[in-house]
Amino acid sequence: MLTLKNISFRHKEQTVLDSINYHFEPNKTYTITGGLSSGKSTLLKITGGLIPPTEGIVCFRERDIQTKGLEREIHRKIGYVFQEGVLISNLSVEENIGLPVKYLLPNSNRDEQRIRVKEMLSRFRVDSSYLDKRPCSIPASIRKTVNFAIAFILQPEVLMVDDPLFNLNKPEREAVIRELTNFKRSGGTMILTGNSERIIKDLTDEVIYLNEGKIQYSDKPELFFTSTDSELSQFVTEEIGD
Amino acid sequence: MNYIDRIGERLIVFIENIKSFGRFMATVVRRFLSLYSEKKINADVLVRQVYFTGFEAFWLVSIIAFGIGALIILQGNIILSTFGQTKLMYVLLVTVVIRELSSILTALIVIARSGTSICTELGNMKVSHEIDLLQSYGISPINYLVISRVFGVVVALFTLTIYFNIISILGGWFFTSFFYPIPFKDFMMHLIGELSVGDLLISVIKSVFFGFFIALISCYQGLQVVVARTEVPQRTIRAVVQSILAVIVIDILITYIYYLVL
Amino acid sequence: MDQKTKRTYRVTGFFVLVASISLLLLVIFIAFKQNAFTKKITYYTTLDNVVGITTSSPIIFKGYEIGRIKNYKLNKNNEIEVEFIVFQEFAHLMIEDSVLDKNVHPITGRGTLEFVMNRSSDKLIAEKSFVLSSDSNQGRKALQANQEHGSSEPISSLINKLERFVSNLGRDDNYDEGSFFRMIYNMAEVAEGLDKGIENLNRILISLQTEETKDDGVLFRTLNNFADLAEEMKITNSLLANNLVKLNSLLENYEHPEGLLSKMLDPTGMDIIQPLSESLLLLQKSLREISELMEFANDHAPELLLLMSESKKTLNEIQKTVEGINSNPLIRGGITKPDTPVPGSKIRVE
Repeated sequence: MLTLKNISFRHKEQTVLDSINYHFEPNKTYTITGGLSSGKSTLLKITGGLIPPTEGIVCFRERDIQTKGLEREIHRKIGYVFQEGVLISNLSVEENIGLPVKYLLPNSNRDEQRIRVKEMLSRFRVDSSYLDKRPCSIPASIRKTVNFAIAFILQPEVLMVDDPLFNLNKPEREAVIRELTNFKRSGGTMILTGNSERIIKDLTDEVIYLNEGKIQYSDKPELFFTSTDSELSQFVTEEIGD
Repeated sequence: MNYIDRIGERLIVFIENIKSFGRFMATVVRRFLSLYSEKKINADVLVRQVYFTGFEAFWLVSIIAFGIGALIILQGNIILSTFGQTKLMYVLLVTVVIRELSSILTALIVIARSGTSICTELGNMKVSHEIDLLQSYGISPINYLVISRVFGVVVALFTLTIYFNIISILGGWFFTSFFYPIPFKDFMMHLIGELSVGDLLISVIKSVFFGFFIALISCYQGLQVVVARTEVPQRTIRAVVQSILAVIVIDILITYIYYLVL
Repeated sequence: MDQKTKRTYRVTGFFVLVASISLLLLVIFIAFKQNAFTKKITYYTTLDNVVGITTSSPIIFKGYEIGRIKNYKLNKNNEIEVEFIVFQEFAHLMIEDSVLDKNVHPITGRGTLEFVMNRSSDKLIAEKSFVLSSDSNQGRKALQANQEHGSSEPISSLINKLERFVSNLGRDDNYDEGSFFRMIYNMAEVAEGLDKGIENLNRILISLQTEETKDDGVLFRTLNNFADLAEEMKITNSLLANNLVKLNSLLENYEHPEGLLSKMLDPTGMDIIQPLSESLLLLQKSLREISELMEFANDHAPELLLLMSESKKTLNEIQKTVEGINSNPLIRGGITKPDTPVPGSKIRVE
């Protein structure tokens, strides 16, 4: 479904990602793990087409994700949730939801849309009183769940989430895990990042361990936790948890 | 590193910056021209930009325009009456205010209010990943943020310049009537005798170019912010300085071309 | 769309619309006022230079704008070919041998072309015809002829017109690129020159009257002085006539003088106007006495007649000028344009 071909990324003098090749299969869930500043988020952003790599290409169904003119078509199919809840600051929450819906689903039925928006917000425990508020006046956790709600309203084929549980309180965490599980069950492809044990154990089909800009390990989560590699086992012990 | 190396390095950086800005401008213009078919211009952002840059600055521009019209008449009357050429006050009003000051002063007001705010806003959006968010929806930040703002500032500056001209004429008449009680109709007839369509059009043509470059530079500098919030004020200062320089250079160019053509 | 957004849309729309409509109306109004929608007829002329002239400089007739310069270019003969338009409603003014006279305002530097109509004919010229300009010899002659035909006022009107002349000094009519200050200077110099000349003449006359029978040598010396004096007066006369030609063309077309300049330059008329007219009258009186002197010299020394013939010519010219002024320079062919004086061509008596 998604293929990374010889991806490198450099920021100023520093090499963040170094010649990464990888293929993401459809209907599977991947979790990219790694230490602090290992390039997890950068790899996810490149895979999602948000930033162009310094070298190499990302192919979504055999087409370069950076191709001009395909943005709407590609991003209609790839949902993206940021680590910290991000919303356009000068729009209300309602307008924030309306913006991608209007842009990416221009021909859908308005009433159906409204019903789906309402349903998604309640599934992610977003109170309707937040709708006319500006992002700066609502809690960070709500911002993030609004992000999740938007991503699900758009019904993507691939969902990319940067550290799904970051910044969330317990009830919201449960809601997120529940929805991600449903998405997985319905046959969606997910690429997640983070070092959450629960995410890796409950949701992930394949763990990718990123270190020094390279993929050091890529296999099933069971093997990830029982690896004999000293560096990896040290990472699991020290970094993986909830 | 010796002195010549440093100059060379600065020159290379300068040329790179110009090239980068040129590419940005080309992208904005290309996208703008393809807008009609794609309908990507965001009416809300456009209207809000015109409202903020134009309507909300209207009173400030009005006061300045009225004052400038009055001052030109006041100073002009003192100097010109000493050699019996008070008739030249109309020439002065046309040449100084309508042809030059209206667009320049309005541009400076817009740089101070809107240029800074656009740069700060886009810079902060970049820092808080809002630009990434738009990209994740497949929405081009250039289409959604830049084009509407550039178009909005152009419309606002164009409109403000027209108001500036009208109000400065009123200010001029108001003060003239202190020295010589002259009916507004007579004043306008004298003024229109000196005012050509070219004078009027050159002032609004300038305002269109000023608006375009002020907004473009402010957007460009705003989007140049990478990660840190501390970059935002630095970029804003650059946006202001470069906008003022651009306005002066464009003014000279347009005036030169105007006289060359005539 | 919520109420606030609706209001923003409405206010912004109104704000932009009012400005755009105002601009449009103003442009249409100015264009209308400046005859942009009037039918225009094209003509051509040539000028020596286009200092102060632009593509929109007006063509003025009696202070009224009847047309505008459309375009100009430098041709191979180093003349400037000027294309100009005249508004349809003034097409009846375009009579053959009419002249365009270039003026440049010394303060604003703006140039205008004065249209001086030929009143002795009523034959209209065709569209795209050539119109004479005061920059050509033919044009200057036609200009002079047109101006002489144009008025029938007595000498007193000249003095009255001087008031207007002074106020219009800004309009420079000097062919050889001088300014109005130069004109003033010339005028003052002419008046001074006349004063001196007449003073000398009086002295000579007095000396002749007292010493005429005693010594023939005195007569020779006197005649020598007289030749010098006559030559000086010839130059003075040329300057005078030249300035008066210019004066005529200046006075002709202006109806609404700005009073301040004349007040500033010559508030009482004492500096220029009065001395000039006094000098002119004195000169005329003296001329009669010079004639008598010449007759006397002729009787006593017929061999000097030849030597004096040149001086006699000069005196005739002066006579013509002064007669012309007194009877009005604008009519009766009072002033002919003088030849350029050649300093140093004095008559000497051995």
